[in-house]
Amino acid sequence: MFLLFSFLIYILLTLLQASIIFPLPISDTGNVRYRSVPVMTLLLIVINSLVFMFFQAINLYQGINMAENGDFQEGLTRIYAYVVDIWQYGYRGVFMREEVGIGAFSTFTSIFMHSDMWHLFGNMIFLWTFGRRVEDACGPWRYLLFYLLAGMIANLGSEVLNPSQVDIPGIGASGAISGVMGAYLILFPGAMVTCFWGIGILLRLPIVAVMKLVGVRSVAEAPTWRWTIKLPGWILLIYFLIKDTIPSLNVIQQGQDFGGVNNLAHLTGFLAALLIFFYVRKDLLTRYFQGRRI
Amino acid sequence: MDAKSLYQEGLVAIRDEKDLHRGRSLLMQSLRLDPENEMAWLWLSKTVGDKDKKLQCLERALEINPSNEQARAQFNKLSGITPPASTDREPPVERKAAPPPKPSGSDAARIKQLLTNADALLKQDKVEDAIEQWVRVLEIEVDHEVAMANAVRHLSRLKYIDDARELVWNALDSGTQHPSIYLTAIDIARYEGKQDEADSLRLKLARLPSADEKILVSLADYFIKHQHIEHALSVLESATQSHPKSQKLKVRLAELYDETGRRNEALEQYEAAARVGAGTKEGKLADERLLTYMPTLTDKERGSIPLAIREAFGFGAVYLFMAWQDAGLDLLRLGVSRSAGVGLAVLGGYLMITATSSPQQQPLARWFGGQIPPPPEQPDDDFEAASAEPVALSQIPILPVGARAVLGLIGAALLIGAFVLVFSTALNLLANPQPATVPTWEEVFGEPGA
Repeated sequence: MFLLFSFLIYILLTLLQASIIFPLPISDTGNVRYRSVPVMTLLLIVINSLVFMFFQAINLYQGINMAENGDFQEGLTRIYAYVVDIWQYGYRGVFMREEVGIGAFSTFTSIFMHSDMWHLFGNMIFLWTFGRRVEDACGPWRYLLFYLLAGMIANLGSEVLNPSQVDIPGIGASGAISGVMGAYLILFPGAMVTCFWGIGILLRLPIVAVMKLVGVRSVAEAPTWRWTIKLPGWILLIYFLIKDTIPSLNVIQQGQDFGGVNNLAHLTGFLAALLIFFYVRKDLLTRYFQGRRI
Repeated sequence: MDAKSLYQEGLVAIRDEKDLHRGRSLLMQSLRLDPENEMAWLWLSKTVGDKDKKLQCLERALEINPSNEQARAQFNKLSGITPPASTDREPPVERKAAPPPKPSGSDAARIKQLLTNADALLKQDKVEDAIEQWVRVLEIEVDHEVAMANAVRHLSRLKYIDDARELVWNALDSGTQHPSIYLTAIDIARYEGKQDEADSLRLKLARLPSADEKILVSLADYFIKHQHIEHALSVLESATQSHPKSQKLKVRLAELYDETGRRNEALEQYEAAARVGAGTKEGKLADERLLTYMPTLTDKERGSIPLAIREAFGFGAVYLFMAWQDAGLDLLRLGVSRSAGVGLAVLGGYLMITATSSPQQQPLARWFGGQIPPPPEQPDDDFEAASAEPVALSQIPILPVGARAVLGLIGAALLIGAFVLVFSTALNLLANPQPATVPTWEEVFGEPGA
């Protein structure tokens, strides 16, 4: 129990630390209109987590643990197995160009793999925040198709638009999730998103306190201190889009790809959102183009 | 004294002085001079105590004017039978098909002259003479709005309410379509404390094609305020039919349905209002209200083939990007089989969609012998029924279950076939593995492995 409690505190503190400067979206505040439970979003979170836990984390964390506790060789062996898995099932252009490995299947395997717990956690929290309402707008099966399409386009874009053709495997759901985020921006531009944001929370405190003292009615019921802050979704998403665009342009123009965060995949995944209208519900599509609330 | 003056004095004696005896005497004198004054007979009926005599008076009034609603209502109330109607009189307004004819050219010129005269007389403070001019106009065109408004206004000021009433009812009996005259009649009825008559006029006014949105909303609001919900519904239901583009009426009707627990109908009206346009105040309001309902499909959306094909292209897009990658990341190397696979995916996707999310495409569903789906069963429990999510009923056929199953299976088979075609290289690699290079131990850890 103590260990679990400590783990949760650790996660909370790490989240706060990670979100001091930049806001971390944790939940969408809007209502869903069709289904109350986002079945496919939850299923994708579970599948991603299970793949990581039972396929990757065992080798990675047991290997680190063994190496730290004296069984250095066995530890390194496990870590090596983890690395090889990434090279075998991650997305590599060479699989398709030279027809080796698992070929184009890697476009699907790669989007269910993650490099570590924080990579998984970060992606899943974004998937939860933005996927819930996009799934509601599409229905679970069309949403799944769109998710896979966005993941594929992200992978494809990161290879086709990258002139360096460096053989580095790409893994992670972030390309597909970028597509979901783009779709969210298109479908719900006025939505508010609850975020952890250290600076924002600290700035809000004196502003709300002063407004309460002055007697501004709109904040009369609001608590003076809150752990979270609500921000317009479009600001966050445009911020993420810009954040991915600048390094992506470097990769496209100069072929500079040193691994790490695959911003180009994020950007192309984001652009895949333009295809969301193939996947939304019929009535929602009609309402959207009538300028009505969806 | 003439018949008219005797009649007026009789009314004053009855209504203001409450002297029924004197009133009766004056009215009888008036009727001796002018036995065709239906209103005199009507008022006379109020001054006699004997039921048979009352009925005789009312019967005379109805013989003179069968469409005198007050006389008819009182006669029916007292006798419970319908009095004989003479055939040489105009039928009541409900049965009247055409409005009164417009005046001819010479009459129009005469009306213009009379109105000018009336204005001039009014400026000279000769009100009664001006009234006479307006009355002449009304003799030519029984429902002339300007003449009616002026005549009634000045007659009312002079306390000649009955004369005003007579002018208005002549117009109503002639089948006028002018809402302003109905509104005047309602005012007179209210002034005289005849609420039932006013309500009856309001319902008739609501059915006029010329009644505008503002009038209809105010009529509905009146009935809502006075708890005549059925009347309000009747007004709004007919109003939404005659004004199909009016968002305000639709929203008002939806609100009333909502308040009376008819959520299905409320949903339909809010939807209809929002579909007229989401940019207006009422459109936005309807759209806002719809957020509390689960969205529903319209038959147009259910039956749309283009909307279903759009979803099939969603399948096609997924297969196209799969094929692109399988072709060595080169779109130009797709080849015939992968391109065919993408085409098959669109077709298979369409069949799958037809079997699942779009089984009511028209005329497809009709060709397959589809029937209009029955309405969903209502819960037995009243509470559950009231809290059940509203559903929009469909009036277009749906594919039979058997046809849907067959189409679904064919669609699934095509999608599997398409997958084999677009992922041919990847599938071949599963059957005949070609290992890819992976980093060596040394490359990973910078030192030789054990």
